[in-house]
Amino acid sequence: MNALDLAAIAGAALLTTAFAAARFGELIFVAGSAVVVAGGVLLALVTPAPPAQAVLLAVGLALYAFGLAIVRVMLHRSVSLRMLARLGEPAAEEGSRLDIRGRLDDIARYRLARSRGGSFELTAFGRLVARIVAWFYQVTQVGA
Amino acid sequence: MIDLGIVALCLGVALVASESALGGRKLQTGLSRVLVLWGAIGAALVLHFAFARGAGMLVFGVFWSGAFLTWFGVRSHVESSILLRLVFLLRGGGQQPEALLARYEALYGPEQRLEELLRSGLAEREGEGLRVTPKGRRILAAVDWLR
Repeated sequence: MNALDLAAIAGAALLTTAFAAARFGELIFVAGSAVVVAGGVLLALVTPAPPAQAVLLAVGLALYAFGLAIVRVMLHRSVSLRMLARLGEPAAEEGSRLDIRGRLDDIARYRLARSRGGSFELTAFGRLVARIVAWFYQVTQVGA
Repeated sequence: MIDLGIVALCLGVALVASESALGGRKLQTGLSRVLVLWGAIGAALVLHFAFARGAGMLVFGVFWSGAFLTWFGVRSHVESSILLRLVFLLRGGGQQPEALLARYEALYGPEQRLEELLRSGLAEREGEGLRVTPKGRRILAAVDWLR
């Protein structure tokens, strides 16, 4: 075990703590991740350890933070989780339909499509995203 | 640099093996077998670092955990994202909002999501209705705490 090993485990522990502490405010996770990833990159640049380990440390901490960030987004936006929480309630399915309807507003907000004559049409950015998504569905075979 | 090549190769193997193990299913249905795969490949690489290099096991362990978390997050998000499904459905040309929603719900709406919850053991049938399983309750408790 060397200094980079210790830095890696300390960085992962800090990121995990910031992830859990984000329930008190998302800023805790954002700030914690920025500090840890920046620290990892800085350490990788100055360390006398083998370059492969330095690269793995910097990239590893960045991936760890990014992965946790996506999980945080899922915790807040997942329709399936909300549906599970409402299971047994008479309005469970209706609640899910409202969640789905809300995503139509997001399409315009993120400039993926624009409303023209009451009809949604993809923007250039939307077409690019649609191509990437189609490729992903094809590779993973998740019901394209 | 050989180490980076080995890690990249193992990452590629893990990605291909995961897709093969899932076989078109959603992650929430096949997560345990994917975890075993990533764990086995990761453990082999940790042993390589321990015996061949004498250091770097924890660096690699954190890298591998990060790679798994990122893959899990991206795959899970893209496969379940309503927004991306709607964008995908718009590829064929412009559509009225109601028609787009109707098409989405026919293909991936609440009924399909309920089926997925049943398949993944998070919900179960109880007479005419459905109820959350103990596994589902544990997940909901964890999600509530983390929110």
